[in-house]
Amino acid sequence: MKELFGKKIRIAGFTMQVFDLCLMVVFTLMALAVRYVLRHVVTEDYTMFFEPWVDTLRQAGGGIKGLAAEFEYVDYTTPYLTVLSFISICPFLNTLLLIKIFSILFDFVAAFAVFALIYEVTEGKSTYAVIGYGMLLLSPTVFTNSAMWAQCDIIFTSFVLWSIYLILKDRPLGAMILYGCAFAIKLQTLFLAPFYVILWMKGKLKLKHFLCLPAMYCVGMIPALLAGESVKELLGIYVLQANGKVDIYALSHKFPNIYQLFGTDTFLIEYADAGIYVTLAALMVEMFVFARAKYELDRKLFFRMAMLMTMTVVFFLPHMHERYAILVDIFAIIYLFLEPDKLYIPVLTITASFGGYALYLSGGKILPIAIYTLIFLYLMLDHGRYCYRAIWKRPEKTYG
Amino acid sequence: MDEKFTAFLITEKKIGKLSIAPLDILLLAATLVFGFLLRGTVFTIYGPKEAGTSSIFGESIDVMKGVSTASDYLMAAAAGYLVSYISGKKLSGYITTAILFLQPATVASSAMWGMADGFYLTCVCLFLLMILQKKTALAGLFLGLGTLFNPYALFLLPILLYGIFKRRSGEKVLLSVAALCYVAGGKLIHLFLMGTKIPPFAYEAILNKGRALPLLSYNYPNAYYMIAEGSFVFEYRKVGMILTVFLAMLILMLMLHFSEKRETGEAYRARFILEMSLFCCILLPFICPGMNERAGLMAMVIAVCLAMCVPAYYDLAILCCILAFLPTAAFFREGSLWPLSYVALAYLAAFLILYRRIVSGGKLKGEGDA
Repeated sequence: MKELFGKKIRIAGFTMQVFDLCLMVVFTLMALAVRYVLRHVVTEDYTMFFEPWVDTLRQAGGGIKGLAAEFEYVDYTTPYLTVLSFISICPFLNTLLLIKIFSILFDFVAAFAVFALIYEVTEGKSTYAVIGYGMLLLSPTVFTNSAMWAQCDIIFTSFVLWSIYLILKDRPLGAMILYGCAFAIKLQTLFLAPFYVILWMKGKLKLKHFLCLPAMYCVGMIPALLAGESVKELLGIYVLQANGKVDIYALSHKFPNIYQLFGTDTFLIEYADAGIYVTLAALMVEMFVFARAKYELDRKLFFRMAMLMTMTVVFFLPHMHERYAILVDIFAIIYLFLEPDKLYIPVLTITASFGGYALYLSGGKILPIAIYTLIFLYLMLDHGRYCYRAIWKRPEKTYG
Repeated sequence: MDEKFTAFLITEKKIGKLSIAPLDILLLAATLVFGFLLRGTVFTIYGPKEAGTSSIFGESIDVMKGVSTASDYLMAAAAGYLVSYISGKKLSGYITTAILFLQPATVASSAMWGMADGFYLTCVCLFLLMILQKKTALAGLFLGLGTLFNPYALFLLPILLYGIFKRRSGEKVLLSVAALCYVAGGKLIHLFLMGTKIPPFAYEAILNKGRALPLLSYNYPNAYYMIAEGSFVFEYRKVGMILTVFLAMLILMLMLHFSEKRETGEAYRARFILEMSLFCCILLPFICPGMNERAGLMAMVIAVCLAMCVPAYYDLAILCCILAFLPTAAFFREGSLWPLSYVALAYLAAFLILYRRIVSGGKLKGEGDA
């Protein structure tokens, strides 16, 4: 029995034991069971947005034809609308289930990305990689996002994760094509853009690779262009989002960021503009330090920096939604395998992030969200301290 | 004269096979007296739900309180024996017995509530003792017995599985598997007993049925108080169960991973097993749905035992004792003074501190020898 479980097999370039494979199957079944339980949950976002959008697409004929539909309001780009349009004419299962199934597929794409990333950073420890795979699939923010809420944040996140994997494998073009795919799906991809700039400064990427972003966005527009939509309108979707015209009624949409400390409903215009400048200023300082100093960008620093920069953006930027820290949650899971004694990083990150989800789903009967903000702030300071020490070669204080 | 008397008090005398000093006897006697006095003062307090159930049980509630008190003493004695076995110091064992018998959470559970949690906690202490002695089959038997009294004992299943993985070379696998099956069977027997209305189990079953609303947690400050204990009850109950099994698997893997580094001697092995038991008792009820006010009792008992063996753990022991009592207090006053969502954060902190100490590999500040 021991021999059988210990036998090594090679699948898609990854060497793993039969035991790891069995474990992976068990985790997959558990993840599917969780999603199956949550399949009938209907949230306000579905009834207010997704359902009417799919109806509109259906009335316009569905498929590629449906993309010519006239929406009262929509802030999704062509690739995801294309998916919704095909869902609208799908002859089996209902719309809610189909939307959820599509997101759940990407839960697994992301989980395999986490598997590959952990396998890479731990230099082939397949058991760790499988545990990371399971942790991602059973992370509350991940399964709630797709299986409960029917949201699609995991789709762009999957592309970003594979992009990071290719960066670690020194394949910058492939990495930026995938990053461009993520950008074509959701604007939130840009939360990580400052980190990519640092990677460029450190020679991991070339400037020309950044052209993949507009290029992939244009590729994503093709189905809508075939349906007869105007280029100007398609290019304007992100401008509409970036101007903050859509989410203007609150400075933070239940996301535990700085606005939760002093109120999300006052000085909406002024604080929103100020928030953008504060974000840019904070990023400027971070990027200056990370770009200017001479240091070796090792794996730990890589993920700490990625988490810090993403957290800086979502902490200061106005109009953030509950789900916008999903990338940080996943980076935190990966980081655990680089420093196993730092369990508090994924636990507190996911706790703070899930605070926003809970507030949305439960109707507000939980801890004041300011507490989650303080947890989030603590984690940012912790990442900042680590980066500072790593860059200036100051030894980390050890426990005990 | 004085010197002679004090020397008499602390000099151990042989009583049969037992060697004990008069002062130790005094401590144990005083523990008994104070324990009973303490319980006597709160004996007439009844929980908010008893009004309905007293008509069913009549005076048997008071009988159950008496039986529960006796079970408390059994538990305190078993925990004391466990500590003296690990630390090799009888004195630590006596102190453990006194601390646990006089714990507010224990008193509230037995004398105010009439819950016989002492029985399953006794089994848990004996289970840990058997694991330490590498008697896996007997350990499985005690865990099964514990499960029979209260399903919360099942939170220690990863420890039993670990014991099976690390069993002595001569021990038959079949015995361990049989013991494991008994654990599963224990739950069925428990259900059977509840069905036959044998107090105190039937009493507890009726109390649970009497809960006004199906909630994800009944005053036990766990993750569900951080996400609203009354929302998506049906869905989160199932999701929570799956996550609990997932975490139990991770704990077992963590134990097997760290055991290579940590099992360098008997003392460190004992400490490691106590640490991991506490880890299970804090983490699993934190995620498991449907926990009630008394779900923190097992963590309290193990935390006290750990602190008595490894003094550096005193902070976690104090925290666990306080956290074990707060939910019970919330039940009796029909509402918690401290919002339970905040208390849940304290449990989360306790879990993270404990994890940090486990992976630090046994180097704690100000720690004495285990």
